[in-house]
Amino acid sequence: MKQSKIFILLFFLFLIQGTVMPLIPFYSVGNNVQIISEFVLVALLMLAFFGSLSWGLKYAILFGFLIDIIYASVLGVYAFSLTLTVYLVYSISKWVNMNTAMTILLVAVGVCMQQFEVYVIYLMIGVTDQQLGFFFQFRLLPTVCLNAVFTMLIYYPFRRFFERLSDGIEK
Amino acid sequence: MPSFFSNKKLIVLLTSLIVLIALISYSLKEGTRATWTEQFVQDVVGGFQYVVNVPARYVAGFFENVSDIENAYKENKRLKENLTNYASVEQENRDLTSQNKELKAQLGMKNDPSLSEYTKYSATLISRSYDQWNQLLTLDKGKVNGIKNGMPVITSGKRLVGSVTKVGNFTSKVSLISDDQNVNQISAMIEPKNGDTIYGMIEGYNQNKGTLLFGKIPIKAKVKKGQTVTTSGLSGKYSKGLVIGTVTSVSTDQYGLTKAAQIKPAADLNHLNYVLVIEKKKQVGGKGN
Repeated sequence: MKQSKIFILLFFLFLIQGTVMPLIPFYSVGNNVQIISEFVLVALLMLAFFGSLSWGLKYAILFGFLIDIIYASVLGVYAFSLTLTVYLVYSISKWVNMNTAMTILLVAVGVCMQQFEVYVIYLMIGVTDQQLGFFFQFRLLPTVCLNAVFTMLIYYPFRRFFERLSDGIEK
Repeated sequence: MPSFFSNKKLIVLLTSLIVLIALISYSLKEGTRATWTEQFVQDVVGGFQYVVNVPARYVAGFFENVSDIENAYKENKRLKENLTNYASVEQENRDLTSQNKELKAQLGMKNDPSLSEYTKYSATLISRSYDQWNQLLTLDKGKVNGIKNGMPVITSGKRLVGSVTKVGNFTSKVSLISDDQNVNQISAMIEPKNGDTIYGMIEGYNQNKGTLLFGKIPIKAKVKKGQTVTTSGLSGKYSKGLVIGTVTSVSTDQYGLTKAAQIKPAADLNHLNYVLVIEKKKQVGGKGN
């Protein structure tokens, strides 16, 4: 029951990323600005922080492959980078005291990591040929801003939801 | 404090790296063929996407309508001015059509459909990839509706958008012309008002400028800013006469042997709702002489 609740939540965010977000006219903000929604990653990080890491990793692999199949042309890239990001950011989170500001900061770090990992892999296999300067200036900064705002909005409901769920799970 | 990467974790990381590389090479080799698992997942998720997409599109459409109404008055004024020419153009068109038909009949080409004839399937966009690196769309039509791999996709006014890469039973994925993995296959041409047709290839997409690279143009060709680039139909994949875009700048390539031009895509690739998938009509073999 708990599993299915988490799955439905993540799946809903996954759908939003591909259907609703592209409809919002972000390109009117600036000519070249690329604002990417990484809502699944944000939810997975919150799940790892306040729920349990093992669930976070499992769902990271599952949704990574879903993203690869539905939204990407090369398999495995998102599955690998999502899982790695969730694990690394969770490792950092053990060293610090978790509060609202810290969570948002860590999510921002996670989004940066995720974007950079996918960028490096795609650059190596030739899916993209975006310049590094362009990536940092027009893509990373606005993307981090959007996802930080999203984290602020969902912080309290998600935290309560995951903490209540994790009561029953042995960590 | 546990060490950051213990031995066991290092092994897991290395194993997953190997799996990643295996998967990447598999999907790069596989190309456009979709396995049944991919098709199944694509179709099931496609159903859910459709459910989420319809109300979202409805709301987005409302806001779009509001801004459309603002523009309608200005547009109406301009269109009325253009309308005065319409009658004469229509008459001219009719004359040319009948003339064309007669000439074709004289040549004995009557039963031979030209390269530019095709059948259309209309489809609605249900999602698109959210990272801008993959330029993929998902459509709500699939094998059941007659969509096949490699079919060109256009919007209104025969403006080329991309081509179908992966077909499921009820959904299909379209790779846009702005996707770097797709573009190097379009054979394109410019038909100047006077002079010979200029042929070339669309070779890539520049994300910074939002332009396509039209390369392999003969060095002597007179390419000018503002000329329209269309598909040539020589490659067989795309039928003839689909509008790709207009030339924005011309340069000589790095070796000085051919010319290259930057092309602004005719279709607004960020703003697609409904598209047409087209299928070339089968040529009647051995009749043309």
